[in-house]
Amino acid sequence: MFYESNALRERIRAIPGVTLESATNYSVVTDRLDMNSGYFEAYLEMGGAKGPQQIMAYMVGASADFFAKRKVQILSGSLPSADKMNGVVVNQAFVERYSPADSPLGKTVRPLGGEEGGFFEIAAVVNDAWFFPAHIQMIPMIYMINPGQLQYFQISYQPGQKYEVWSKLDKLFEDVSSQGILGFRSLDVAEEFSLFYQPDRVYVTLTILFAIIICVVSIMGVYAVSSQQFYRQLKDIAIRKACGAEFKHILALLLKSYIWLFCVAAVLGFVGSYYLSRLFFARFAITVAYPWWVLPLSVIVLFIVVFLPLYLNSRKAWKADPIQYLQSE
Amino acid sequence: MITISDLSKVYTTDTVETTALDRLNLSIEKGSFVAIKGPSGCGKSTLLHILGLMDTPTEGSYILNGTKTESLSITERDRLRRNTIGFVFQKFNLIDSLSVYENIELPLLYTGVAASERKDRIQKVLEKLEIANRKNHYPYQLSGGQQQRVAVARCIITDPLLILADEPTGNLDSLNGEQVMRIFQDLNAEGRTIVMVTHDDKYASYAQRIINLHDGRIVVED
Repeated sequence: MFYESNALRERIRAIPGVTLESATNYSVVTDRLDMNSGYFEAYLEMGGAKGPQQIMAYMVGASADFFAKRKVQILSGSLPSADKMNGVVVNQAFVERYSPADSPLGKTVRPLGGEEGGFFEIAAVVNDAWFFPAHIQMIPMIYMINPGQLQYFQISYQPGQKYEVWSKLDKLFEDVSSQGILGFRSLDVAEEFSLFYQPDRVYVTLTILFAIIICVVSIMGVYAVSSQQFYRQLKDIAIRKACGAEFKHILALLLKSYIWLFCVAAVLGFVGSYYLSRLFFARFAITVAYPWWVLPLSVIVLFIVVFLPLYLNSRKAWKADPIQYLQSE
Repeated sequence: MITISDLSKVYTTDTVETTALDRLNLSIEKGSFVAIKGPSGCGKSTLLHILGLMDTPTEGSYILNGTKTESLSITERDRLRRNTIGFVFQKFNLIDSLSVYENIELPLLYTGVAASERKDRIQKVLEKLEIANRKNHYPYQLSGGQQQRVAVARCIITDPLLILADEPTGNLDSLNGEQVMRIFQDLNAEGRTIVMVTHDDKYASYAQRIINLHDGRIVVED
């Protein structure tokens, strides 16, 4: 028996609280979820001006309204019409890897060793979409529209309606299953992603902790080094005090020696971190822009790391009794 | 110029209290040249440091040029010292990493004098003390007498009302010692008040007034 998927989708959409519904033949979550079924690696041959080219891509099925509903932008071409059964859609990663110099639209793709004459034709290019955890590199994908086996439904619902919607979905699928058609199970993507990213959150927490420790150790380091310098300069500072130097003059004296440290650290730190972060984030399909305050914050942190110890040492030196360093007897 | 009343300085450690100055009363007129004499440990350097606002008394009051100093903050003391007092030390206390010119320039930098004026004033004082040919030398390249003249130049560059000299001839031979004393006489003749600590009767005799200290008290005043 075959249960008509569009009828099932209509019933899902009719549940109060459901805001979005789309369907694919792959799970939107991976790893500990149902990654073995759904999309699959396909070894294919793509035709082009320079002759056939062997490619590998993940072939997935999606409903025709999938891209609109999930706000996946169509970059070029148009979605294949319902009567064009061999029309496929590729993503940006596919284009960057296999057709970076010319448009892939109209190119044909056929399975390696497939039947003679059976082929797909690329009808559209869509943006790389984040259906996978963000740390997984975006992969070349070929979407087959309405492949006839839409086994995963991505359902969004209004906030706070989880239990109402889920109970109705359970009833719906039990009803469908009672006809002996479908087995089913449901996964809360937000929860699964939350679980999935738990190690990353620990990593982030540890990173922040280590960053704080590094700042504290750096402050202690600069404090120790500047203390040593102050200790060597105590006589000079005493002489300067006798000449009328105020705290600001003592502070300026120390700052002058450390301004280069600050500048070098700032330049190396900012250029290095910018370059390394670009390198690191290049692996990700979706990256989040830095909030505007990250740069000023890092300048402030660097300023504190360098100048707090200097300030403390300057005060200590300023308040030190100069007489013992100036005495004659 | 200077009025101190019942001024005491007591150094306290865990076990011992040492009285360096004991209820001292002293008045020094503007334009006078005063020598403070006494044996080691009698409190003369302590007195000089308090007069120079480098140290604070345990008790008593000190009025400098009309300003009560007890209630001043550290910064206010720094400013009063910078604008009123010049120091000359026995060990010269020049900064080794700075040239003669830069050493003399130091108080002017803290006073905020403009660069062109600094240059003029330094040049004048270098010529006055006959060390103009040494302005680019470093202290270690100078003799003791020359170093002390640089120290005097640094002391007078801000035109202070009061010059405090702590054994200024202590590290000099008699010839250089005499030269320094003559410089002090000239500065005093220009109207500057000079308070000098010395062991040596010969140099003390340059002063108009000699104060003998013993155990933190004035015992004889000539």
